[in-house]
Amino acid sequence: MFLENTIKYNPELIKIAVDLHQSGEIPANTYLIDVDMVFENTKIIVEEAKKYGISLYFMSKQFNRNPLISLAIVKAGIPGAVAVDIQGAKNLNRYNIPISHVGHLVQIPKNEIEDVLNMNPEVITVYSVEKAKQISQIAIKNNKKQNILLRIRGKDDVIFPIEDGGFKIEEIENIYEEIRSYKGVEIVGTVAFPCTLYCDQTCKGEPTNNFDTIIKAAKKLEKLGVEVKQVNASGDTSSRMIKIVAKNGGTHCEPGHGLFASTPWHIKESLPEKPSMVYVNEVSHIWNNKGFIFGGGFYRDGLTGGFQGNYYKFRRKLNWNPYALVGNSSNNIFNNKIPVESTSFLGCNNATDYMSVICPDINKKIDIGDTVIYGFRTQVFVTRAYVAVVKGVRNKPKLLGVFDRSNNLLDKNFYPATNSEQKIKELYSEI
Amino acid sequence: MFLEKLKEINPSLIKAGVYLHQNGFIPPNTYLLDADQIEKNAGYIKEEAKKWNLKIYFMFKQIRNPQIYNFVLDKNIPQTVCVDTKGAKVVWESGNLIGHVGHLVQIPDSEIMDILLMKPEVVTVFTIEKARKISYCAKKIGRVQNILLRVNGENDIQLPGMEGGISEKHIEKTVKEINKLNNVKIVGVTNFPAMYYTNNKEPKLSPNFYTSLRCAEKLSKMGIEIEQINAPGNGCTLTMETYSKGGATHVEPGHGITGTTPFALNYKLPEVPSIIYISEVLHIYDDFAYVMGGGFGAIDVLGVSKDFKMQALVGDNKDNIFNNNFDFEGCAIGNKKVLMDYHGILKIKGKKVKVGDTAIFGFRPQTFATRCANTAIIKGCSTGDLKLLGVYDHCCHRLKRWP
Repeated sequence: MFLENTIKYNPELIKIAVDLHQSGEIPANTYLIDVDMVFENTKIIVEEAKKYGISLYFMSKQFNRNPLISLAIVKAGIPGAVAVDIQGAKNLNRYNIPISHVGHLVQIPKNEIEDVLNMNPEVITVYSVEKAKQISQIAIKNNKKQNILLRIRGKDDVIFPIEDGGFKIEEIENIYEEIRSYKGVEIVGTVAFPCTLYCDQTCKGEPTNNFDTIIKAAKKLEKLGVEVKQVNASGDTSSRMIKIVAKNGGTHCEPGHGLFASTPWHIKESLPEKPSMVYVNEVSHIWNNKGFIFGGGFYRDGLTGGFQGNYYKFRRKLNWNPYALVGNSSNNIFNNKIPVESTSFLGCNNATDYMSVICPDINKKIDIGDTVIYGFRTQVFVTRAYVAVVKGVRNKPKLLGVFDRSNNLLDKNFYPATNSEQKIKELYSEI
Repeated sequence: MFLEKLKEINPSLIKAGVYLHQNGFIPPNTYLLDADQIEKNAGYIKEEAKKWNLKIYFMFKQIRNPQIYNFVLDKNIPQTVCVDTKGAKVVWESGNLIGHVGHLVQIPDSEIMDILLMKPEVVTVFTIEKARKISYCAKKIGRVQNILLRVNGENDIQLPGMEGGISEKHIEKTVKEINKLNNVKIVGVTNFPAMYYTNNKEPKLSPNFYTSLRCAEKLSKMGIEIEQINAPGNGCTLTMETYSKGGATHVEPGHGITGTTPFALNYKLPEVPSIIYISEVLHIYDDFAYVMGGGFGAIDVLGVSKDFKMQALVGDNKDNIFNNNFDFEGCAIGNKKVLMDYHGILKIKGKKVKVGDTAIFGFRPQTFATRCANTAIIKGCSTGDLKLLGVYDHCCHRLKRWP
């Protein structure tokens, strides 16, 4: 879905991807990230946030919390990360990336709360009185007072069925009394997700009902005497969305896809951020006139979640026919657009996505071993793919590293390198 | 699927799981492997295979963990089949030998040399081109690599995403081409699945297996000495006889190792279920308890009736967990198919549950394909001398925070 934009705005990344794959420097099934472009995109968002007095945490699940990319984002001005789950927090902390926010999509397991407190996050989100109590007990034990956000749930909010939960807005007064008695935590604000989304009707970002809910909840807390420092309002966050967050009373937001120019808004309009990641793969075999590509990294182009309005109508209007670029050199890669079964972005029809995607109706020549380039909306942390980071794409390209999916640096033969932590810290000087 | 079986015949694994999680020795989102039982299961399978004169390549993708090989494999015998190059690299790093690579996922071009350097007994090819590339690499190291042909017949079961191979119609022509290559030698055929998965009442060879047999015969007629008719799928003690009588030479037990083949549901097999998934209740909302996800993404549901309800046991100690069954809703309300398994969702229906409780599932797992599930391996859970041998992340790296 974003390949068209990548061809238009970052063709050099595609060329490098083919070269690196054909030379064997990156394996099949690799997400290749242009670190300079991520840096530039981040700067654009940071500038806009400064203008509107919005604080930022960056979301890293889209690029599997890669340490080099995370550092580039920090250097471009977002001081710390939001970790979607405990794995995310530990992955980032392992490479000294500051953690700002944990727990707002997945709560922290009880025996790992101490690990998280030792990372000194600015805020932790809680969904329940019990979790606040667990955090408080461990904070007291460690002589800490942890700032927490309350995840608030309004009756008519947009809720993804995988992550429902939080405090009902009408319960706030009761739970406030309870949580106030826990001396190791302090309520500093409210959060919900998604609070802003791209809207197909108005063709721009709009606040959701959830935004209204967290504002109302924050007001209730203020009435109870809480000093509200944070109203955390994310969703499809990009430079363009910042103003909408500010205008509606948000104080913090958490760009993720915005850093890669892969929000729905980026499809419809040329926003300042530019594409900075491609998925690189290889033709495994051909059978019954269909090309089979290695599996492991496909992710359904899941725009449905990042959207207000009728997604299917939106897609029909776009007249989107998914395709991949196939070739064996940077000279021929742009000439060969091969259609892809849109359903096969799911990759795994089974429990396992061995060989994934079929390129049907081969009307152009493809060969076994050819490079295949995709540009879909990613969630690398869900996949079995590798991640590779390249810098200097537009002047002097340099492959900085290839990582497995638990963020260990790999050697030239894609075995885990010895002393990954030390080597990555050395690579930090390249960012 | 296997939760009731586990309760009945391997309750000590469940007890060990709740103990290790509640005391902070293993993180939630962990598959716990009972090494003693796995060793026994592998022993039963080897014995049965020997009786029926079958050779074994064990498949480990279900339980990819660097220590498990010690309990299954005989040293110095290439007894492994690897689903992909990553799998092969984990086995190789553990110091074990490689039997078979390439029959489910072909080897990417740039990794062919890495695999050949492991000296696999056989490599499977789907196409002439891949055979040519393997021959090219093998020549560089002065090897003639034994290969199997993945064959494909018109009436074969085609599992989505696993289609491919050399069509039976073109086999002679293809073999003539491959025979021209100097550094590969065809020694047999393979096809998948060689046995039906849908029928868990009795072992029944699939059309794919018969395609293999017919193709092997054609190859013999062309003067090729067939050393291997490789028959992957459902390998366990119950199926060895059928495979042997049907004409197979090599079998590839995977779920057999953990006692989680569909047959284990209906038969009293020697293999005992020996893997559980452990999670933790993170929050409760309305009538649902949300447990930590990360390992739900790759659950195979096989051999059960349509109205079968997956369940979990919930509790905070070994006494209260056994009789506290919760229905598993899926990873989203309404059991919608989702790709991000942040949570597993349990229906509360008035039962006792609190934030921090352990939840235990008896899945048929594919640990290599989960989002981020850990594996932990234990010994001595049935003798009261519990030892935690290690906790590994989803890429088989030992986790430092845990023993």
